[in-house]
Order: sequence, then structure tokens, then C-alpha cells
Amino acid sequence: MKQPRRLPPKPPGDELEEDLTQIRRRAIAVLALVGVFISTYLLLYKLGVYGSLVCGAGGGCDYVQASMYGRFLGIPVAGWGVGWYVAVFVLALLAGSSGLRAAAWPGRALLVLASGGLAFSVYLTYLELFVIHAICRWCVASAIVTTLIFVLSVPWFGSGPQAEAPSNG
Amino acid sequence: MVFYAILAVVVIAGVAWLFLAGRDSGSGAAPASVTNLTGVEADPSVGLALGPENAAVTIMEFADYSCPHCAQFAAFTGRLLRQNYVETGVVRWVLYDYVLGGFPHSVAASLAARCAGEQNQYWPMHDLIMANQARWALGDSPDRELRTYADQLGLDRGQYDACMSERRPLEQIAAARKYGDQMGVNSTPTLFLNGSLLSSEQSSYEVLERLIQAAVDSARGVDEAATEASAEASG
Repeated sequence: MKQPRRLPPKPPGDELEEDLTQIRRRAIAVLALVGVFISTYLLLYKLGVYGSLVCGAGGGCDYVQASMYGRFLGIPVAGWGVGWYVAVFVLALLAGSSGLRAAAWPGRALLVLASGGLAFSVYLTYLELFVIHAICRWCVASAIVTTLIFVLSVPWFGSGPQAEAPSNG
Repeated sequence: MVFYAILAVVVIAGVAWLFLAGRDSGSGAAPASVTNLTGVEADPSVGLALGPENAAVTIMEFADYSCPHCAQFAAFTGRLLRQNYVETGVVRWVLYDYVLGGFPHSVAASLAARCAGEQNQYWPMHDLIMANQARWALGDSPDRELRTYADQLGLDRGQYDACMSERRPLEQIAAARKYGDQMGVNSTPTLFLNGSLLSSEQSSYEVLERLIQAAVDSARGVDEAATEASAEASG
């Protein structure tokens, strides 16, 4: 009778790194979920579902949302935000799933997404500070979340394929 | 397990927050824009007027509540003109909000003034907002400060708060801005005397006094000529 092949035990350093990677994926998922709600809140305001934002009637949020920069390619910026956060959330969950945990591409895809999100966030913050001259605190909150997601994704930069998934063959 | 519990907590908190935010925000009343509302047209009738409709002189002022020059103008020239010419029935003063776009709290201030106007306290609120510009225009959120002015004027707080949260006068503010654009306004304060645009040099009290007097004399001259003409025609 053929005995099942036992995998050699992983070195302790690899296990620690895998744990940290998993923690980063999960932290990204939680942050992305928070971002989904912030963006949804702004989107619902932009679509007229909400009458006012908590940051004050007619305050900086109103101004930023009402400016010509409140839309990007014809879609409310908050709509892009919802899409982006959902994509990051799904990808972070996928990357942490048992089938893809060892694959390198979800981490790299997260890094690419996070870099794009950070660049867009920097652009929006620049617009708030130097063009619109108004600060929307929810946009700032979203920018902070995006930055954290990027920071957590940075270790995937330049990372090679991780340890191949164990094969039974 | 812990991870999914955290996700569940975030989802529950997020959904509850969105629900409560919708309940407290005057849902359904939201316009999509402040200075460029879709479907809002320039409207001369949204100006706030003081003085008799048949006054010989009409001065239109386009002002942004956050603009320092507007506050200076309101504190001195505007106040004197109101005392000496508007309250005496010589001049009709019409004020239009002209939200410049460079100040974060201008719309809030315009809303506060017009919400006070719902309770017939527009001008007293206007004066308080302008006089205390430094107290609210530079802060993070002007609402609390503006609310103290509403209290000082003895406004019905429930009605004022509802007006502010629903942003009821927002369309009027946008229409005033569009009217200003149509009139060629691009800075504040901008004045028009009987429809003629005045330069910033013409906006000092002394010059305005002379212009008002000239306009009154001119109107009187026209009236006298018309009276003579009708007398000749009938005689």
C-alpha cells in the first residue's frame, strides 16, 4: 500500500512570513470594507439619496462633491471609489483563500491596484488643497485608508513566486 | 474565525451607519451640486431686497460671505448706504449670493442667512455673519458658530436646523450665482447701479453717494421732462 507522501516541515522563518502575509491580506480586506462604506456614503449623497453630509451643511464636503472634479469620466468619484474598494476587498479575500495562498499574482495585483488607488488619492487631495480649496473629511478618511492599503501592499513589490503549492503527485 | 467576526462587525456597523445617516440627512432632498445645480437657471428674482420697489436707484450687490472685502464693504459702506439711502427710500438694495468657489464655508453662510430669511431675519443674520466672518470662515465647521447667531436673533431653532440640513435655499443660491455669471460678475463685492457695472474704484462710499445723487437727479430730470411733455400735449 502506497504511503501518502509527507511534506517536509517549513522552516520557521517561512511560516512567520506566511503568517504576516496572511495578516496583511486580512488587514487589507478589513480596510477595503471600511472604504466601501465611506465611498458608498459619499456616493449616496452624490446621487441625492442623502440630503446632507455629516461634515456640515454646505461645508467642505459639499464643496468638493459639488465641484467639477466630483466626477471622473462621467462617473461620480465616489462610484469609482466603491468599485475600487470592492475590487481590493475581493482580491484580498481571494489571495488569502487556500487555493491561491501560495500564488504570487494576487499579491502583485493588489499592489498594482493599491498603487493606482494611491496615485488617484494623491491627485484628489491635490485638487482639494490647491484647486478647489476645500477639504472633505470623508475624502481625507478615504485617502488615509487607501494609503494604509498601499503600505500593506508594498511588501509584494519585487516578490518572486512564493513557495509552490504542495503537490500530491 | 476572528477575521470573519471582524468583517461581520464592520459590515453591521457600516450598514447601521449608512441607515442612520440616511435617516438624519433629510434624504431625498439632496441636490447634486452647489454652484452648478443641474437644471437651475439664472434668476434675478432670488436677490434679497431692501427698500421700495419704485426707488429711483437700484443697487445690486453680488457678495460672497467668506470674502474679506465683502465683510469690509458690509461693515462700512454697505451699512452707511442702508442708513442714509435705503431706509430713506432713495435706493433699493438687492443682494445676491455669489459663491466664488475659493472658500469652503460660503455656501453654509449663504444657507444660514437665507434660512434666517425664512423667519424674516435675513438682514440681521447677514449683518451678524459678515461682522463675525473671522470667527466662522476660518474654522473647520461653521455650523455651530452660525447657529449661535440664529439663537442671538431668537430664531425658531427647529425650523432653522431643518432648513439648514435640507439645504432648502440651495437652488436660490445657485440661481443667484448663475445670474451673477450672466451679468459678468467674476469677483466680489460687485455692484451694479441701475444696471450699470461699477468698478471697484466706484464702490467707495463717497463715489457711490455721488453716483446715487446723479442717478436721482437724472431720474428727476426725466420725470420733469415727461411732466412737461404731457402738459404740452394736453395743453
